[in-house]
Amino acid sequence: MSISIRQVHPVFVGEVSGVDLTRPLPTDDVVAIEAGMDRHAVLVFRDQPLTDEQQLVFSRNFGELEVTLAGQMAKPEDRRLGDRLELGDISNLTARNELRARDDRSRMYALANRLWHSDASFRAIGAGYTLLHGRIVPSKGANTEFADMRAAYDALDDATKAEVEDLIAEHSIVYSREQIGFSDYGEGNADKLRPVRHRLVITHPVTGRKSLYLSSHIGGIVGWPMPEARAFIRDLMEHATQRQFVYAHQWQVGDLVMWDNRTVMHRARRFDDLKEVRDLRRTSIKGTGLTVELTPAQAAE
Amino acid sequence: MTIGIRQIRPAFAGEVSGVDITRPLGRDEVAAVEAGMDRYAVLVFREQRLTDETQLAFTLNFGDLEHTRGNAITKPEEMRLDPAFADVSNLDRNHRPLARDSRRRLYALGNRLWHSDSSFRAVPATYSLLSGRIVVDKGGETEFADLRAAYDALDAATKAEVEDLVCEHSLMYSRGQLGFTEFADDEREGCGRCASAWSARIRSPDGNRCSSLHISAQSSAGRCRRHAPSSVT
Repeated sequence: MSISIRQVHPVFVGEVSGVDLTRPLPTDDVVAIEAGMDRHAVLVFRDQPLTDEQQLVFSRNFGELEVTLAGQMAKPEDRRLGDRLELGDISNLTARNELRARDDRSRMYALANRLWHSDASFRAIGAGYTLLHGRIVPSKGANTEFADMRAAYDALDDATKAEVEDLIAEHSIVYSREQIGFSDYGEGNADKLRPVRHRLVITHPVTGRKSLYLSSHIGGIVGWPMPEARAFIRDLMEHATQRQFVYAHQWQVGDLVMWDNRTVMHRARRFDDLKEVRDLRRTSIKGTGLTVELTPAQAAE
Repeated sequence: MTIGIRQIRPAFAGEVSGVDITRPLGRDEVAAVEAGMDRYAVLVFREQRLTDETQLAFTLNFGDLEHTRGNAITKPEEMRLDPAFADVSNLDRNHRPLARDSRRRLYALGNRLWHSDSSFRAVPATYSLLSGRIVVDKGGETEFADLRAAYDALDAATKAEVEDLVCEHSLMYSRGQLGFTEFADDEREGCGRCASAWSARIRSPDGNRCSSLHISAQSSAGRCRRHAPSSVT
């Protein structure tokens, strides 16, 4: 049985068959998956009944794992998945496995995942791959949508390409949350809110293809008045999320979806989260390399 | 010459011919324009060399003028035009382009967000009329979205969900999205109608927090629009 990948959207996204992710992978398979990621940016693996441990093992094939910010900011007793901070809890459940209440703070925080974003773009080094595995999925809604930022870049007119080429954007978790009116981060988390800088146009280290590095975590452009920057970023977001660049993933139990945060944005869609359970587990691979030189203050941290 | 209206988009927007709106209109013509608005929601009249005076006369065919001096940040002495008009330009009172960091310019960037005019007032605007006097070579389009068609296309569950929702609108919310939050005390006071609009509630079929999507109680035509002013070069 060998890996094959079938493209399921006109511009990106491959569905992978011929591989069992619950077992250790030979190097050839890992290489084939990485090549698939370079080409398709999003890969879908169906019917993979992974445990947490198997998901962690599979993820480590692609690099060092990231610790989730929500995990870092949560009190230990509020973490449903225990002390493994590499395992992101993408669910609407409390530590006691009960549905989160409507006014639950963690629920409010997580609602910003419905905005288009690139994982961890609020860190000096954003995420590389993210892997999301479906354990319990609701009967309706709750798609994850992806937008191809390479295709979006390619479709810009020449004048806009020239305009964005050297722009530096400022990202912070605060900027995405304030768009939905959330600002309650709790004590001792101020250091995680400080903006970081990334180029607006990034080049993929392997393929050399350019992408727009957009995210709802962006709140400014270096050297621009803030309202002008935000109005422009909105225009770029609208451009980049036109239907021809977007794939909507309808979750089934056992799906593992893997994407490259350097080449796609994604967002969660709504569902009846006060009545139905959705339980997905996330792992992310640390990005490689910086898109902008660290300031001396950041480097000293 | 009688008024003709040709629909220019599948769902809405009509282009009107056979009328000179620089002159006083007959009652039948006004009725035809209103019927066109009910049907198309947006009407385009080409090649109408309006002056401020003739624009005002044409506008008054459709009701009382809204007082647009709700613009919280332009002082009376900075105004380029008669207060009957909203100055949708990038010019200061000396007819020079506003500087990049001009507060008026940054405030006006809020118009690039989808909105419905004056939805931040307890009684929002019905018709808006925009006359092009100087236009740019590139960019600067105004986009319109038909909220009747958007409503019709919602699934039944969402229609039921939004039916009785009530939204809160304020000028501060749209400006806040762009990071424009610095209002001096006297401007906040001048923005008293914004503050009162916070508690004013407008029946809305919108469930997704977009303060600009509303089908007003007064009008069967729900409209939402965005101006896209060009950048100053």
